[in-house]
Amino acid sequence: MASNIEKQTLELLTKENERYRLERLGFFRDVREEAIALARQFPPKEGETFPEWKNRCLREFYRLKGFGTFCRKNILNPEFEAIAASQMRIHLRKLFETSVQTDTDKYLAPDNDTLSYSLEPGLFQEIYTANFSQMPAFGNTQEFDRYCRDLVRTNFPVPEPDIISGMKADKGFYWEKFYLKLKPLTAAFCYQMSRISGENNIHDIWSDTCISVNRAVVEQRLKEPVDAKAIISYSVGVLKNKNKEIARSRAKAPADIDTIQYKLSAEDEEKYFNNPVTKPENFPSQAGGLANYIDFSDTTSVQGYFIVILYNKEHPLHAELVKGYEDKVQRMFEHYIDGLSYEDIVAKHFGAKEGKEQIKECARVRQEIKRLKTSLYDRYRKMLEKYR
Amino acid sequence: MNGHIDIKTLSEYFLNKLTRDEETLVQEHISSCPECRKRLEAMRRLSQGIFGEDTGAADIRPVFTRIIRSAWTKAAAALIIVTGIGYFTYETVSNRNNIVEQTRIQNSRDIENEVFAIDTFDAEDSLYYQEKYGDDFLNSDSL
Repeated sequence: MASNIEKQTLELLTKENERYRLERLGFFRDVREEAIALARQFPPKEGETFPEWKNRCLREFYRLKGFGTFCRKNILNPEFEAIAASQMRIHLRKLFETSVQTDTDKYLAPDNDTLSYSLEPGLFQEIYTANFSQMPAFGNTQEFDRYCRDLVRTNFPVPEPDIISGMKADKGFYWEKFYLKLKPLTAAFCYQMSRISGENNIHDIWSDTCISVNRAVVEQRLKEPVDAKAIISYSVGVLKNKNKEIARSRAKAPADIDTIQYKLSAEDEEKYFNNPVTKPENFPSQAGGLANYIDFSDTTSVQGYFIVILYNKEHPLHAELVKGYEDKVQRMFEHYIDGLSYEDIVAKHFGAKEGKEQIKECARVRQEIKRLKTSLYDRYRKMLEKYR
Repeated sequence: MNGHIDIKTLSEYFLNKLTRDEETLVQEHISSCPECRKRLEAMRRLSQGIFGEDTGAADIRPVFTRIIRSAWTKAAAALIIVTGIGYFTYETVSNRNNIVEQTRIQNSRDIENEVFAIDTFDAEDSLYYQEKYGDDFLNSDSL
């Protein structure tokens, strides 16, 4: 049985491996072997605190393994680039949470989301090429992490003109976020002006507005200089016009539409602007759209979030994910988490069976778990589309 | 850190969303808290069970892709190709024999026509040429 020190070094290296994908990049072969060796070489000294021991232990580990050379060799490796991007995203999130909201975000970003502190893929490539081509010699992951943090501090928030240029260049990354901003606005205007409500009813107006605004900006039809406020003003104008058209087509004698109050009541605000699913409670990782927290280009990130939703029964999306599969999920947990064999599960849930009967039942449970994985993941992907 | 780590922080630790300092705090806690370590291990085991073997990714591929990539599909495709090549070869060889045979028949017909044309010229058209060219035709012929 592993000693407590071995368990601790195993946890340190497992986390380093999860964070920097060291095994996959070929930095080491087996995390357990490395952890045992590390525990023997660098046990905690007397009077040393846990953070002090952790820093010393990892520093020595990376020095002996030659982390600097490893980084230089992998500079062109897309996997390594992805690690740099994920580290920068962590620091961006922290910076976003502790900074004053920018004007760009106020007008263009959905609630609790950001454009100014987002890592647009083109922007990341620029930063990576400029700063990692002559990579400093990192002694360990802590130095690598600090370098990423400094890059974030010097390059963010992205200036408003750069984001507007990105939108003029039709960069989907910025537009997708802005379209999400327009959704509750559309709902509010439709409800106030035309008494239309409901996701399905406003969908056409919303998508038409998105297309109109996109064309106006991309084709540079808005009066220069275009800024975030100009884009949101134009969007509101489009929404008002669309609702006026609806109201005119309904009324025989057109009403004086301009007398309608556009100010939202507190009740409407709650109803249309605070989507319960994305409300920032219980989970900060629920604040804003899921796109804020899941890197959709990274399979590990998408899969990790799936596990979190599936495992945590208190998660706001858990019930939706497992609906109708509750019993099967329970059996899957028993197999994967508690380590029960198929025979144990059969005995526990379907009573003691013997011979062919037992073999048949075990095969059925095995198939059930296999199919359940597929069904749950398919449902999860649909949910990602829905809440993205 | 008093008590246990809340599930939100533990989830963020699992997802690598914490900063290095926050991460160290969690690690320090779980080094002495079997309950929190157990919950973290549960998430890791679940992840390993579902996505662990890379075949996990294969499991979540669409049915159509799985059919396309299965060994049976490949074997069936190979069989179809081999059968196709065999049939094509057979057809080509037998067609070639037919063409040779047809050419032979065509040639013999042409010869027959030629012979027929010579025969009929002598028999039927000599008078026409005699009328048209007079006796010179006969004379030249006699010459």
